[in-house]
Amino acid sequence: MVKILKASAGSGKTFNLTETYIRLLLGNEDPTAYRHILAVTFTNKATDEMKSRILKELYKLSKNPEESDYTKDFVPGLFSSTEALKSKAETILVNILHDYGAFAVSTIDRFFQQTLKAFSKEIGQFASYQVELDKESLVNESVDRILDSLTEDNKALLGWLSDSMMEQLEQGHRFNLDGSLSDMAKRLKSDEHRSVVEENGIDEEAVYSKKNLTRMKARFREVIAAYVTEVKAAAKALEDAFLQNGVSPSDTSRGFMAGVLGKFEALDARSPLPELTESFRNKAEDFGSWFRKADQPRYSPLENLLLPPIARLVTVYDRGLKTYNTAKILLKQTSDLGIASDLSKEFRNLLKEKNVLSLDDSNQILKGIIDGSDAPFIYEKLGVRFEHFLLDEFQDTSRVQWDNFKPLIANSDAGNFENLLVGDVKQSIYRWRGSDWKLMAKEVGEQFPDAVHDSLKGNWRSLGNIVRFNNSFFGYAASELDRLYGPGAEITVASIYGGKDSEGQEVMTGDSEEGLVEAVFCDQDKQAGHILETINKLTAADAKPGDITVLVRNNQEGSEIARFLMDNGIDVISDDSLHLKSSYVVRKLVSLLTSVKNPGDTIGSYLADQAGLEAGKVTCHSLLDLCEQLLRLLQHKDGKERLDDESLYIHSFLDYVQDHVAVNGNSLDSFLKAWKEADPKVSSPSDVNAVRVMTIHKAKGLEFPYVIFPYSEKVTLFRAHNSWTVPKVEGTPLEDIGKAAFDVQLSSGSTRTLFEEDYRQELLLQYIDNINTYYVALTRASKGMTIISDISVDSGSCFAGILLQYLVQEGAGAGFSEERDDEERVVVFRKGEMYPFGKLERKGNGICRLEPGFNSFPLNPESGDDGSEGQERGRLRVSADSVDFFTEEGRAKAEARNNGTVLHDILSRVRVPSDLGPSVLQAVRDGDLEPGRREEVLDMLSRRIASKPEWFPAGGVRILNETSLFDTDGREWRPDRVIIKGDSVTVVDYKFGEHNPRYRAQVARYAAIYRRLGYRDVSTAIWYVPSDEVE
Amino acid sequence: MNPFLKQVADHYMKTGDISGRCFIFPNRRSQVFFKKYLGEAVKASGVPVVAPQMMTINDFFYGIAGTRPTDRVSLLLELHECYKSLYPKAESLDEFIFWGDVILGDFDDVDKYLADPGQLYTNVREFKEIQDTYSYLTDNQRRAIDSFVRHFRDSDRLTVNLDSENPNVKERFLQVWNILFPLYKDFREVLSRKGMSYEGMTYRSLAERLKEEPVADVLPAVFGDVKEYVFTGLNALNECERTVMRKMKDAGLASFCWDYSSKMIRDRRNNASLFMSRNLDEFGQAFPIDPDGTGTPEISVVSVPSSVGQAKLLPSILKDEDYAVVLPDESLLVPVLNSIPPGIKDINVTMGYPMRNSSFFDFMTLASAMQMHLRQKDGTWYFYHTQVWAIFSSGLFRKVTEGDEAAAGKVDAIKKDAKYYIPQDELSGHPVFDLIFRPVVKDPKSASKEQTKAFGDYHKDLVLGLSSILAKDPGMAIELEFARKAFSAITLLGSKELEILPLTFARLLDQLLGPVSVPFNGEPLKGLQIMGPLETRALDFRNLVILSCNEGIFPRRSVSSSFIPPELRKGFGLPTYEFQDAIWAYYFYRMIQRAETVTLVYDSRTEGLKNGEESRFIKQLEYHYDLNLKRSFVKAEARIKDDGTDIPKTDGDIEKLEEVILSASSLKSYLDCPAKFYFSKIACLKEESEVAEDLDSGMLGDVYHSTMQALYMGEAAMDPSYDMGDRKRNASFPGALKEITGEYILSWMKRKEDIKKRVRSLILSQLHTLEVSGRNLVLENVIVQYVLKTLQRDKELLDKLGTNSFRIIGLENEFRMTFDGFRFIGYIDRMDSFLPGEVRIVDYKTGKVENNDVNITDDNAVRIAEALFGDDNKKRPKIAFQLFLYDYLAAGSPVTEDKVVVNSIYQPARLFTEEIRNVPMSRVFNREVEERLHGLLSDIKDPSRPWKRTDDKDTCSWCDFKMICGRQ
Repeated sequence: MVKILKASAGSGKTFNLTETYIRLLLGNEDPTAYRHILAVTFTNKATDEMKSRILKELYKLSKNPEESDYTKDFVPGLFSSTEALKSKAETILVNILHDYGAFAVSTIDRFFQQTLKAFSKEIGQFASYQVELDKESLVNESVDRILDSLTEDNKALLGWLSDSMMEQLEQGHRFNLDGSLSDMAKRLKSDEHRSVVEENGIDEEAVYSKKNLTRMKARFREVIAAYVTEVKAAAKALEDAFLQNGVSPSDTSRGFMAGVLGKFEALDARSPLPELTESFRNKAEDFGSWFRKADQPRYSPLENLLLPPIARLVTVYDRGLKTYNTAKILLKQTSDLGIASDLSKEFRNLLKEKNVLSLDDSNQILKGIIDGSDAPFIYEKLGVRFEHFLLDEFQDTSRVQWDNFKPLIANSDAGNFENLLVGDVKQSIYRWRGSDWKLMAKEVGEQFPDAVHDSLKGNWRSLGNIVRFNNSFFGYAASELDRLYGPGAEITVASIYGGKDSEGQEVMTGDSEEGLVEAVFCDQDKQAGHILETINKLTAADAKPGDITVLVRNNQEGSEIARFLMDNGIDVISDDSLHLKSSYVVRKLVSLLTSVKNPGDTIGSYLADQAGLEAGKVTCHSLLDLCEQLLRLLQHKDGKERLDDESLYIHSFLDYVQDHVAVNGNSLDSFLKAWKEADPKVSSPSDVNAVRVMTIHKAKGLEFPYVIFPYSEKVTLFRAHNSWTVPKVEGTPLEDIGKAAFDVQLSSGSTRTLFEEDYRQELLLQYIDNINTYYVALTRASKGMTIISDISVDSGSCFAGILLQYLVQEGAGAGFSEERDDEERVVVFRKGEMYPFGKLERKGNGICRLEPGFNSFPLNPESGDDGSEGQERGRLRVSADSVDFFTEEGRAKAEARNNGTVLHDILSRVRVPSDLGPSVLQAVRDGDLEPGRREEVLDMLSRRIASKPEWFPAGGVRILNETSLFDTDGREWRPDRVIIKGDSVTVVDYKFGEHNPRYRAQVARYAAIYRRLGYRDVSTAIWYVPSDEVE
Repeated sequence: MNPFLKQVADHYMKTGDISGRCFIFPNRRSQVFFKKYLGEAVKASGVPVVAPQMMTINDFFYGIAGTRPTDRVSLLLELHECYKSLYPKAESLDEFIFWGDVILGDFDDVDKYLADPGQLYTNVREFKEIQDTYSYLTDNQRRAIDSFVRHFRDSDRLTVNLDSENPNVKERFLQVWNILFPLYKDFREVLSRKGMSYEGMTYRSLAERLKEEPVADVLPAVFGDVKEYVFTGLNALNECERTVMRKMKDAGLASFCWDYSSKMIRDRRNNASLFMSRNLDEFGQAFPIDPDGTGTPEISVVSVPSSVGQAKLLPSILKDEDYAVVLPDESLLVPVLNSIPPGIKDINVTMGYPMRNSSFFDFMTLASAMQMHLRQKDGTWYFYHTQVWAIFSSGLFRKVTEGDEAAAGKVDAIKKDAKYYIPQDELSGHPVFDLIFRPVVKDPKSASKEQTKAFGDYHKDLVLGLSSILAKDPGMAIELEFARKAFSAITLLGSKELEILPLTFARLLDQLLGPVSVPFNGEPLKGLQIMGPLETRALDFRNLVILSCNEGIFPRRSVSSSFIPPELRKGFGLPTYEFQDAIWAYYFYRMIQRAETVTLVYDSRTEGLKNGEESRFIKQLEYHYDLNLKRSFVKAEARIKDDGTDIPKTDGDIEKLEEVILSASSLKSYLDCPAKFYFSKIACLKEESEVAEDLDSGMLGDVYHSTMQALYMGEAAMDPSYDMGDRKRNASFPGALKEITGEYILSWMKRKEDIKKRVRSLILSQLHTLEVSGRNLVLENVIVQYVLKTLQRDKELLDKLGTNSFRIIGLENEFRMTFDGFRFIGYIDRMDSFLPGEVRIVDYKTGKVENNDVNITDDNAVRIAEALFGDDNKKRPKIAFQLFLYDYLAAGSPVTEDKVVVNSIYQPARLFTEEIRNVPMSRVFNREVEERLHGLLSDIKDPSRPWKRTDDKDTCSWCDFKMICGRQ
């Protein structure tokens, strides 16, 4: 079964999803039913929240079912008693907790990646491949490589690039090789392009081959030239008609005819086509207006002679215009498209070489697997068999994602399992990332004709005033958009939003307060002030900073607002808005790093120099170490407080370094290069005590007590937009270019091209994108909101304009008051009262807040001053073995020492003489001994061993090799070799270096312990093996 | 707290004859602690003892087998050989490394869990024929095989084409699958023939051997006279281990100490107890451990939106040294080591320091890369600048040349020259340089034995040479440890005498070194303990801090790569993800069972692929064990105290102004942003000279300028070998042309190739390189086209003016002047005269110029002058100042006396669509600017005016100083 559930904002979608999930668990006899349910969410955060919610509810059901809102759904429905419910819930909860890997709540990407990993070999990837999120940099690198690897031998590509550059120059375009190619490359590698190519069955390789592009170019030029010739001829004919009749075109009223004809005369294939304006056309038909009043009678007999040629000009002009315009647009970009084939080759190579897979492409690859296989085989490889699928935010699913899910869901549907698709077309704001709400609105229903459709009616989030305002306003706005669009819409906005008179959502909060809706219209530059004012009012109403969220259109705007608020002493947290590079400490640190890298870079070193910091003498263990060391320098100079204040930035910077190092290694050079291009942001902590600044896109799915939505006029109705488009060339002179996709800017001008239909479609889609964005912004608040917009807006270009129009026309009826200050140019519409935040229930939870701070301490602060010797100093003791291995006396000595260590190791493995061979071999295998020396070492040691049969008997004695002794002071001693024969003990220590009297005390200590152990006959020997001397 | 190992030590000290026992531990570390407790017990008893034998379970097995595991690379090489002979589509060694590991891992599992490889690697094609012989399969196995085979067979029919040339997913899978069994057989055969083996192979053969030989005979031959083997603190056992232990137990030779004390760990529903019942049932507990049970630790959970930030919390968590810090994510080691408060005097790190995180590894990688980008030309070897420069800035290089002035001098000289390819002789003559910069990989495409050997020797020499310098500095002990490991790895690889590409050699070395980590062999029993989760096995600590308690890291998400589908793994008892989970759960619950306080820290970031999800263990403690977790998180305040205040103007700055020579562009930069002017002119900051790989727009302009200059200087200047860079020489160029005739221009328009040669030589000298390649080839064509178009337009101008020649007054002439005490300088690209009585000031502009800038007339002069000095950087005309200055400079020159001066801007890109237009000098404009300039200059001198920063952020986005300026 497939159920499609429409869930407007605040309608309890997550509640429902959780309910379904838990019901599937509780209703199943299998206590590990969770292994067969896949719940898919849109973001990592949502995954985490859904998991927590399920666990928390199961916990409640298992402990205090009376506290759970779900109990009534299950008792008596599924269980006869709460006791039975409790016990089942407990079992399932514990099972999930301890089989957590099988608790399949996941993002789409994660699930697909998991699937793909299971097939890495089959898709020709190494098992250890990484997913690369930053596709853009991969594309740029591919373009870079193509251009870098150009040689004079590669005539085809070099010629193509040079030609296309000349064309650009000749057309008066500025020459920017990298820029135009990488823009094109990015567009070529976009999901949008991919799906257009797929949808239209375009054979990329053939279409984008240089040969075909050359052919197309020629065709475009032909069409352009033919049209120009034709139009010019028509214009000439008109002019001739004038002249033949003894009239000069400049005799016309204000010489308008001469002006137009002059333009046509100058026209060539490159110059812009003269426009036949509306007024010209009107005039053309109205012969009476051609000449000055006074001249009218003189010329009127010519009417019949002059009207036909002008009509013909207009006809000729209009007939070929769309094709001509289209050819001109396409010609411009065919040159850039020439890179397509080289690009796809280079891109593939790059992925292989870096052992990465770009996230976008992986969906495509997965499609190859899922299409070419059956669901059970996929599950087999995954090791899990999903029966139920619950998909959240279904409106955000992209076509390729859905294509990949469909067979799995069809399989589940066929097996009679339950599937739930939840979403809301009104909240689809990710079209630019490939989301396709048409799936939800229409297509899934067609694909699964038996699907059950349902929708959630209530709003559990927002107070009455907010819900009612949204019901009314969005109904109004939808109808307004439909009116603007005019007839011929594929789908009306009203059909998504419900029209003007639809009921909308029901208020479910049950709060006696009604909440506040406020719309402020003022001058652009006063908006920031209104944000601040609103925050002050909120504070006065006992709101905590954490209750307030400022919604913004994009990160840039978010950054500015966050800085503005911080400058005004307000604590702010902001995803994506706090740029690391804005931190003074971070910049100073990077400056220090730059000066470490190259003291000659005076810009880089400037801050360091200013601070009087010398970065020259620093150690070099790793990049992170270096940063820490420099930070301590800074801390010493600027004081701890300074660094503490910016600790979030510093931590984020170090995180960035850590991530960089993990992928690219410790090269300072490469780090600084990467840093130049990077613009990382601080991750905000989950602190509740600061005003949040967030983009609308991020806020989707979230709820906040109070929302401030400034600069709302930035939500426009339509913006000219580039789209991959397949021009409809059938029946035009361009017909023979066939099916090919081009990246075309769609705008109102497109009505004069073959892209008219595409433009109209894009227009509608943008209307919906934008009303949705506004909808998401206005449905986040639970207690109140303030929308701030520019006062000079109009309803034909932005939503704030529609809002203003609505408030003016219907505001009073909908209960809005209006305050107007014409001098200040401010209008405020208000409905309801500020919520008394003092009565808001707050969860304390005893969660404690830690003071942020930057702590950095050197591992080994002072060297050698604690009286310890050699390497043994500081807090961490590091083995000095390898220092011996590479002694300063140079290579010869180092090898000699090394020799000693290795030989000692070899002997330590010898219990009986026959152990020697394998032990030497092992030293070779371990890489300690060079193979060439094997014979020599074996020979020397076996002679030495053979010469000491008393220490290396074939048997009959107890040998303790490297066996410890514990003395009564608790200390451990370890003689190299102890030979025990009855009552007699021989202790032998192997030495490979100089004689040293210390060794005697050492073996004497061993002997003493053996004596105290009760052995009477204890002898010792220090064996200098190379010289075979014994002490 | 009574640690587990102490309980074991005390018990056996009490039992007596401890020396005759052999203790077997999960790892070496437990051995160390066991000895400590043993020492304490000895001290208490007052009698010394000979220590019992102690070893890890792994040593125990290898001890009996009498062999050592073969290194991974040798195994991979052998496996690849076998694979190649079985699989016609075999990948190259390079690619195979990745898959070889997976196959090896599978074989290891198959053997350790005593699975029947013939049945497991069911041949789908022959399934029907051999099905009957599977009668002795268990139900599980039969079910697994059936469901597996069903994907490929429909009743009797194969539904896939195994020999497909263009296989689909299933076919691709089976093509590999079907050779795994023959591969397993061949591989083992080759290994035994060569006396090599992988771990599972050793284990399996031992388990099989004990079927034949009594264990009581086998063990004494190896370990001597041992009364009893005590298996201590083990948990997950494979089938081979079980078999051996079973035999030993049956022979009365073994006893077992299991560590399953706390209620949580004994909870059968807890995954941590997965192995417990089997272990206890089959092998029994030697003596009661924790007879009174264990308590419950006090547990706190801390969330931090940062990875490194977790380490930075340590100072507020650690009260004294009596803590163990556990790092499931080893990359936190460095931050942790930098975050331990000074009150803690001793630190012991048990986990290794990862080689990959070291500057040593970085250096070796760079050196390899450098060797693979050598170039030879005319008998000289050249090094590619990218790696050379990177080596210069690498930590290791800086260390070994620290304080070495000769080395520093060489580095400076090379950086100053900024050569694209650096010849060997410039990199020699210093011991460290000679060691690093010598050509070894002379043919990167050749897989010769000799070259591979030379490459290996080069690495060895590097390690030895550098290490002998590093050994002088006691602070470099860790680097030396890396060096030693690297030395071993290189020696090992060298010993294979491989015939491989240098790239493959480098990758193999990378594969060998990458996973290596260096232990800190310190005093293990003292101070703060820092360790990975694995090292905690069998140990107990009073206070625990566990970082990276994130789902996916702790427990680690086991993306077990295997060719064996999970269903089959399960059916045949091979370890699955549940098995891994259980092991991790055991680590966790075991390590906290005797602790008094436990602090769990996790990274809450959710960006990118990070999920910010707390570990399942936290959820288990909260929801299953109902523990009261104390939760905290870090406060969010992120404040920047901006130094974005204006830079004060000092007396020194004003003095400095007297030395400064101003130009049109420096004045414009002052107008755009006084701070920018300050940085460049007063503080004299410059960006580091970098090797230019491609012509930037400035260079492109220079080449075009110089070509145009050369063209109008005369034939000799067009010779590619003539150096256009020498201003003085150009000024006194012999045979400089005075008149340019139409014929002269036409003749050059036909000599495109000669122009190209000139352009090319100029490009080469701009880039300090040996050849033009890459995008520069396209740029070269652009410049040539620019030049040709310019010539054409000049010719058109001649024709239009009806004259046959024009006069050259000056090319790139320098003009100087003083204005209000400030010194100015300017270079006029070209001064010429087409008409008697008229002088043109020609300026070539390859950059972008607005129309407004160019067309200055008396009518718009005031408006443009206002915009020029106004506040709006966007509206500021780009070259108006320059026009003014040039006119002003020219006006003072005798050549313009009594002449009409006109300006002409040549924008080569526009010349394609527009002809040349002259603009008469506007007197009004010059007067307006002059007036305002007085004011501006007095502002610059005014000590009360600080060096302000611009408010226009667009100006900042291209500013060279944005890194150091306060503005963002």
